[in-house]
Amino acid sequence: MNSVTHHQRYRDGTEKSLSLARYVMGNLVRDIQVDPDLFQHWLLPAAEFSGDVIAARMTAGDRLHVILGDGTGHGLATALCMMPVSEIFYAMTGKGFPIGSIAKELNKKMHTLLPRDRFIAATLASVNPSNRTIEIWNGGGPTPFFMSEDGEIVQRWKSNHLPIGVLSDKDFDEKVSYFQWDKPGQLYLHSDGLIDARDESDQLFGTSRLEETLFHADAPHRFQNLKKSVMDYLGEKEAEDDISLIVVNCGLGVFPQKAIEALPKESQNSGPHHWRVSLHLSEADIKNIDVLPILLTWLKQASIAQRDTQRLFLILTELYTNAVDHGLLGLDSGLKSSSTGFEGYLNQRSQRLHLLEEGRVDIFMERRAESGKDWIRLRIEDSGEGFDTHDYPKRQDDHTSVPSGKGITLIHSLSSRVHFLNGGNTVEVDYLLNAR
Amino acid sequence: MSLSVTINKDQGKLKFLLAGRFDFNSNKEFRKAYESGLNDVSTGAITVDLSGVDYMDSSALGMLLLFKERADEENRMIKLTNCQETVREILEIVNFGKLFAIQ
Repeated sequence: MNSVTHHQRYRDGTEKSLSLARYVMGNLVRDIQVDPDLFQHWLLPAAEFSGDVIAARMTAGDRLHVILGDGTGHGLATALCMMPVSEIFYAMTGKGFPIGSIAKELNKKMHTLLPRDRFIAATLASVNPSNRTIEIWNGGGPTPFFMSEDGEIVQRWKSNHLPIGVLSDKDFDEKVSYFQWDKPGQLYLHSDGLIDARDESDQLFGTSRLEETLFHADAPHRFQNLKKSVMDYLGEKEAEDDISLIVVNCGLGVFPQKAIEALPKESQNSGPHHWRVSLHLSEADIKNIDVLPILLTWLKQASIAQRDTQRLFLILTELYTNAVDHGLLGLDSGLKSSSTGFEGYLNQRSQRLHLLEEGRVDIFMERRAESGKDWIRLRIEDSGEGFDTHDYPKRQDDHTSVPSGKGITLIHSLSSRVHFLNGGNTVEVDYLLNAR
Repeated sequence: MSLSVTINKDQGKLKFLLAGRFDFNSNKEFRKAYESGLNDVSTGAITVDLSGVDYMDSSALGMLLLFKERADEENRMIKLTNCQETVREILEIVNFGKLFAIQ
């Protein structure tokens, strides 16, 4: 009798813990608010709690950030270990950090939190539809790939890093790989549970079946087809490991206006504001500081509507990148469309940045009211050689067909006035707030 | 087949011969073996011969990390040798070549 009560009490206790776990984990699984035309995902846990994590969010600069993480083991213990992953991912994406920095922070946190024999195989991707580029950081994940609409696998990204949580922060390598697509297609990320799914005769689903299934379907149906094919393959069997899949549609549209327009247009503007911010960056700062997240944090704190914050951030990103890439490093945008493409451009960028001995960038932001309207003035100045501003409109026309020209066109379309001064070393932009 | 571990101490060189499935069930076996091996031969590089291992899961990778941490305390390097194709692929995906000498 006594032991029955004891047993009952133990069971009640376990049931209580489980329902608490369900509650907390349920709150952690947020709705992924990304346009389904752009991003689709599927997660089939092997047990009640998943050891795989999928998260996705648009950045303020209108890129899509995604992560697919697979923790050692599965079930509640693994799910528990994975809890901080999506939190860190969302927080840092929201603050404007690039995926390499996010991977580094995740590694630092997980290295401290996890026991030495646990780690997370993870792939992070950043997709930029406006210049058609993909950045990938892959630590121990199965090989993601880009399949064009006609079914050709144009690019694969083999894992080239240790999984998250293994290395100490100082040994961590945040280097990402780049790719630029010239034919529309889809980016695929999956966990090893998908290729290791077994049928009733214990055969593996495998990589070639994965690729064939995708190849034999029309691009718009590939995701559903693959999902169905894996489910049919498992048959009556339960999955032995968590299965997860991410598909990102990579089209040739210039700019996903939809993603911006879909955001709430609330105005948090109250009362008159007038502030000035200026940042002076030396060559060492330019090499070491992620300055864009700092500017984004400021804009978010400054009671500016979300829509304006996003657009200002896009403009600042373009201006700052131009100041560093062309002003200080003297890079030629034409390189992006040369044979080595975007990757060659970025390699040369990181080499030149590393070697940069002298240079500065000054950033100035001001909010002011003028004739009853609210304005933001941005001014960015670099210490480079400048360029012939008379040539500027011509340059722009020359470059409209290549990715590099899009940046400046974008700034023009988003702001009221763009002005080059000081022999091309200074660019000033006026942006009208709360314009409809 | 579960994991079997043979310890070999020829000429003061520590070598482990592993055979079978190296997975979460091998935890106790593997840890016991490396602790006693390390106590017997107290210096020099350590070889782990994986020729008999036909399956390895992520808990096995975790055990290798624990083993490495233990060996690091004594400044000893670990060599993973004679891997079968499937095992080599797994070690490659997680880039363990950056932590162990893989031959």
